[in-house]
Amino acid sequence: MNMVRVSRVGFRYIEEWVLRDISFSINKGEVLGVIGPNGSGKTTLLKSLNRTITPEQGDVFIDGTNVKEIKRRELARIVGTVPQEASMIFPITVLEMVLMGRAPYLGRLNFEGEKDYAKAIMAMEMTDTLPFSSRNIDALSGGEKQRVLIARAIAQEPVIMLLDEPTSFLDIKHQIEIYDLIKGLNSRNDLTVVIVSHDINLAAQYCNRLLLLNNGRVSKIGSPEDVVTKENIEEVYGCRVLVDRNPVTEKPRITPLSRNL
Amino acid sequence: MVATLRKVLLICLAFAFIFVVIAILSLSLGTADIGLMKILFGIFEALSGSPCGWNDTEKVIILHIRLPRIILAGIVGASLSVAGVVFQALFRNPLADPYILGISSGSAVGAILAILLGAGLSFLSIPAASFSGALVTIILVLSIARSRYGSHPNTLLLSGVIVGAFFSAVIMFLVSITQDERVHTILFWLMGDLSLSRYSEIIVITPFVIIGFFIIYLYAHPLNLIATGEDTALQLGVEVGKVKRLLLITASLITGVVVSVSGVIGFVGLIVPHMMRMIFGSDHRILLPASGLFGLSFLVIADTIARTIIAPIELPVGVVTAIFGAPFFIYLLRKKGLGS
Repeated sequence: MNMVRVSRVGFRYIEEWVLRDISFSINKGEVLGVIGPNGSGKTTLLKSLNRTITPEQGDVFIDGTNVKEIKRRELARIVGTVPQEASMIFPITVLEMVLMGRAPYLGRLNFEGEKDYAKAIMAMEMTDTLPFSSRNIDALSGGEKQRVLIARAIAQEPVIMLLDEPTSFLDIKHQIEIYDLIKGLNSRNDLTVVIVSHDINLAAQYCNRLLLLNNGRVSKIGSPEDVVTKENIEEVYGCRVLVDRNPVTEKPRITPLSRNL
Repeated sequence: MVATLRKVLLICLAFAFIFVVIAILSLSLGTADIGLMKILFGIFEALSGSPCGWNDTEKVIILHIRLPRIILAGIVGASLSVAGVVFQALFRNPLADPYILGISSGSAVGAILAILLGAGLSFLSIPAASFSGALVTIILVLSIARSRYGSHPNTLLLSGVIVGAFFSAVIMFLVSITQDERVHTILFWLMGDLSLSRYSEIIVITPFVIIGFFIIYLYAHPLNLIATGEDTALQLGVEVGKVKRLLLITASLITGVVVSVSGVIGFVGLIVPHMMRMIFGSDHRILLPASGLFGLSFLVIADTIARTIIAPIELPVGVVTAIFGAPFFIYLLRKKGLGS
């Protein structure tokens, strides 16, 4: 069943089209990885799914409803977003940050109730951020910060979670932890996940399907085996790669090769 | 600190109490020597309905000179502080305040033009002109600061300072070409002064200020989200464009109406929110009422200093806030750095 349907979406910030005639669907409960070179439109595509931007052409449907017709507050209960990073101008604590995920559920007076605290604490337990809940966000390491942002999205209780390069600043241990966490949420809660990633190998390991973007267009979409091939990757990224199988997971694995080899 | 309704109410009560204490102290201070005890007994007697122990001169000084001045200083201080909090959150810039952004000067130009063009017909025309001046300024500053790639925090401050300088020049120009006694009124706007406070002014501006505070407080939580980032706020369900427009207009409204009665008083909207953020954190459900209520006391203290420090000469209160505020601004600038 289609959870998200993207139909002929086109978008430009100024003149250059960043997304061109993009169409694809996301199944309920799947993990879709979005890969592609810098500037291929990955983040912009994500922003059109949660209506941070409104595409100039085409439409995005969630559960059959056009996102343009969903109120933002309503949409925020369906779609949770984990940004690439959060730079704070004013100091706030981890708990305050995670509680922000409850914003779409707050009543008239806009104060959090017991239920909101319970959800926030549960989200912090799941992401192992509870031990430093009263610390300042800016005092955290990159990995801790990332987990707090994921906790906020969990507290939001979304049906779909969008993540924008959640591991780009992290070391390999934290990368794996984040992906395991997301995969766990996906299988336990039947959460639909869209994850933008620079790391093709991790995306191939964890995602049910991959969407390869090139210059604002869908180059390939399908299983990691179908998308991560020597031909596809070399064509889109413009560099030589070796593609073999990860001996443990049997998933395709790439190694970029120097031009001099 | 995470906001709960109980915490907010407690903080409000505490600051209201501080204000009452400071107001009573301020009532007893001044060129005419009226002891603190005499003030207290007078208030007590007035509350209990018995005749007041003040003589006629003291009555005039307390009830018609000092009291309206204290009330007006409080309203102005609260308004500038709340406007400061709103601008800082909307622009995600801890150095934004109605004065730095040029909005106070813009309001003053509006008010002065209204006086010179003879808008004495309606008691609302000067505040209305002042509000229009504030709105024009904010639109001007925002359009100068906005480039096609979005706006850098410092560009916003710079355009505010430049627009403010331009409007100060306009005020100077208007002073130069005005020959009659209205020159004094104009100078008053330039320096920020509360010495001419009257109850009639308080009655005119209070409704606007209260409605303004009410509207702003309805959006206290969305302000938290917007201060975290506009994309984040959108993704958490805030209609950012709509909220931003409404709050910019409301903050300009309260700035405009208080400038129309007090002139340009700088840095209040910078110092008060910063102090409150240091004590209570960045949650606007606490920060807004705390800044508003501490703003009351803050400007009363500043104005009491202004009228007593070299008595019998009275300083314009804008001079006092600037002497403390400008170094404070530099301190913040150096601490936070110029980078975004």
